[in-house]
Amino acid sequence: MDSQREGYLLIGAVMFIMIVFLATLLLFMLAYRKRKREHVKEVETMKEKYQKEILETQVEIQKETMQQIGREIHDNVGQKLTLAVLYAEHLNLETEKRYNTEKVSSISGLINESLSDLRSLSQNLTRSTENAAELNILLQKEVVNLNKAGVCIVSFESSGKVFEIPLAINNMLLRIAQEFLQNSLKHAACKNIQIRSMYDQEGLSLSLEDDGKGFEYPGATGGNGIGISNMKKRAELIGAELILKSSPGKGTSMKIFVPVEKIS
Amino acid sequence: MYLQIIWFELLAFVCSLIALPVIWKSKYLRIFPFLMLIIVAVEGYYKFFIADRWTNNAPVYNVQVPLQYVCYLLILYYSARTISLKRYSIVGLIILVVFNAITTIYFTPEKYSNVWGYYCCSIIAIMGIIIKFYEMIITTRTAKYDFLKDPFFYILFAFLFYNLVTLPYFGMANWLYRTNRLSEFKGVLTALTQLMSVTNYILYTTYSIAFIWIASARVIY
Repeated sequence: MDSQREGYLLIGAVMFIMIVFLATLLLFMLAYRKRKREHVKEVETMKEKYQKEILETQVEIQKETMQQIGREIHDNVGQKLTLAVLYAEHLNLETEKRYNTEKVSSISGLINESLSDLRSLSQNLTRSTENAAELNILLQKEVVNLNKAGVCIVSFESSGKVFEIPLAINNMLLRIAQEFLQNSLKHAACKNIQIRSMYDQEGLSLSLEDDGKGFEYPGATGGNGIGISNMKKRAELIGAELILKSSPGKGTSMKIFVPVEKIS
Repeated sequence: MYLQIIWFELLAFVCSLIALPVIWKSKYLRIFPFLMLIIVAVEGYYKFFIADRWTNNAPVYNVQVPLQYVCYLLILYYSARTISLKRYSIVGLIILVVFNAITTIYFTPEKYSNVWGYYCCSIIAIMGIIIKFYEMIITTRTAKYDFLKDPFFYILFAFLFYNLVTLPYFGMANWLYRTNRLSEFKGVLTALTQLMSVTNYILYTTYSIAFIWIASARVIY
């Protein structure tokens, strides 16, 4: 082999080794990147799952606590008040002439009133069926209650085929809607509030809109009120997308979208 | 073919100036325009002001090349997010300066290139870039950081490619020059010169694209 050829081979071989080294380095980096991205995705999924579980547990604990308080009111305080009414009425019959019958009757009436309030409270707390009801039914009830107050006209409409939503998501959506409605009633001085729910293959969309005075959003400092940040936090917890729009004189609207993957 | 390298260097220099308002915000990227100026000044001087193509430029390159690598090590130092890379850059910089000074003054004959000094620079830079790449893939600064979307990764990769490919060239060319065998290996030398030119084109084209990318995206990682 002549020296010229030998030189070509030598340099060629060294360069080939260098390029192979470079290619290996690049491939290693790409493989590591792929693994890292998979790991990050896995961690995110786990985090999301963990948050969802915490949320469900919170809702469950809250529900159970309320039911227990309700039962206690019904079984304990309710029973004692019933007994108190009976004693008061009995006292009235036995001592007709020695005591002021009017006063005894009013005591009995007050206890009966309290008893009625407590029963109503107890029923509200123990109504587990209501907690598990469809979002549309819960919103409809909310609309009826608000219209009874007569501050403004609240309307509700729903489209698409209703599908089952986990209790935690149901609860969160209801709380977000309640927060929006309360804010509209308290601060917006609105005449109409429109609530719409839409069920489709992509997920559930809930939109609320008022024709009130609106406000600067986001504010000059970029900060939001506690109510808004609570709504956002709740939406984040259930993996929903929340878009709030408002400007002075143009009312306020809010759209929440829960993707079907989060619901299932 | 190698006579065209200056145009690619000029393009990279101009692109670095275009990106200056953005790269000025980054401690490590702001060194690039200065680095390009060093390269363009020397190459441009020989290209446009020296009529004789065969003028010996070795003494100037013996200063310019280590200076370039000092800039690269400073870039690595300022871009470092781990203490190990910071330490490596400082130690590498000291070794580079001392080694080049000693070999140029005491061991390099007059009008000869200090190839051992170049080897030292190149090896220190290659290792530094590999450490930087490791830092890039294990980074915890943000979970969403993706080195493939960082123009700096391409700059470093092109420079690594340049160093790995040109290292054998300089070694072989120097050996042929010192042993007076240039005429015997004329074909090899021509091939190597062309290869070096191609790696230079790749290097400075990558730099130009990266600077334009930085300027248009206005994102520095």
